[in-house]
Amino acid sequence: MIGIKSIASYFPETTIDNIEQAKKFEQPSEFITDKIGAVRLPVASEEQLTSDMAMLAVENLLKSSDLKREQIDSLIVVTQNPDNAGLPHTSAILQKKLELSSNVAAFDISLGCSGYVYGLSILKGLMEQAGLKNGVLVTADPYSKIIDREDRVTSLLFGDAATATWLSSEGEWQIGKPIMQTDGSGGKELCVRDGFLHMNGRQVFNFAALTVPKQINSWLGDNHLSADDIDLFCLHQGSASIIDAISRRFPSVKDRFISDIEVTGNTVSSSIPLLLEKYVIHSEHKRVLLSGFGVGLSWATNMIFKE
Amino acid sequence: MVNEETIKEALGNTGSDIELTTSDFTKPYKDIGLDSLDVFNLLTELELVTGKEISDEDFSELESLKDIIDHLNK
Repeated sequence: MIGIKSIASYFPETTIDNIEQAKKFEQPSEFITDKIGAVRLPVASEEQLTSDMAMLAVENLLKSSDLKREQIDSLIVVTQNPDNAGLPHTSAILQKKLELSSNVAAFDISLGCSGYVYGLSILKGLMEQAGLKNGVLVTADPYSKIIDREDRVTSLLFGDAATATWLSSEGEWQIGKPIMQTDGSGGKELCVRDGFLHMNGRQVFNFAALTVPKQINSWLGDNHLSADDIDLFCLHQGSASIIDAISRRFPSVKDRFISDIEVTGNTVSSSIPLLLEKYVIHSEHKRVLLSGFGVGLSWATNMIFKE
Repeated sequence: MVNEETIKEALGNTGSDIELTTSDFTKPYKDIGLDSLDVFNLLTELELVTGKEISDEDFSELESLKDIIDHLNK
């Protein structure tokens, strides 16, 4: 069975002091620390491409694990901010930058905050069907490239990061059966208009707070589990307030929901693998529930587990 | 029927420790210490209780807790 073996990440060196930035919008520091949750936002440089961030995440994976460059036979990049408007696909650019063999299946997935949950299942399914041995799932979505720094709603929220997850037949963490849902009628609530990200904060918050708990409960029911059976809940880190609003629907296990956005901001599809790298991959936990939700609107829930 | 107690209970459910007096219900959100995310949170709790969604157009005209009560009781 294909499972997760290792995870690594990359953050740009430059960061924005979010409390300072909030002053521009006449927002008190408590709004940043208590509600948004992100006091620093990593930001890619203007010349740094999505493929550059992706490459550094994979290089960190190669350094921190036993994976060898020549072993990689499949490569997926989850992004909605690809190099050169997506043509050629960023995963092909990445294959070149990493000097990987040409015997690599490589493609992009255009998804936002649900992308990691989708990506795990897509790569696992591909590897099992095609008999591939070592796949790398990359998330890299530098929203700083589409944020209007004069827009209070988005500029206080998003940070840039990239992650790389190694999937292998020797992976310790198994990947469950996901639930994936889509509501395109909500697409206008989180979209790019005139080159900049637009977010209807209330509608996105409402969607996350009401819809995600329902999907988590559906997933648990389908798998004959209760929330108490889950060791840790690693949800997309939309904001501290969103995590709090969702976790309130699970009062008996509220403290098992990780809220960790302080020095990352909302890193879109990278937020879940960042949590897995930090809290899960080398832990003693057995069952970890993942849920990603956002642009689309798209939301997806799954569990990773080990015996 | 949504009333001041409904609002107080919903606000309490969000984890807010703001203690509302009757005069607070007619004040702008900001004047009683509610920021935008507090209001989003409150409306989510109220939607769970009432089953009523508030459109963006209507939301833009709701400037106080009393406005919310009046709108949800329409």
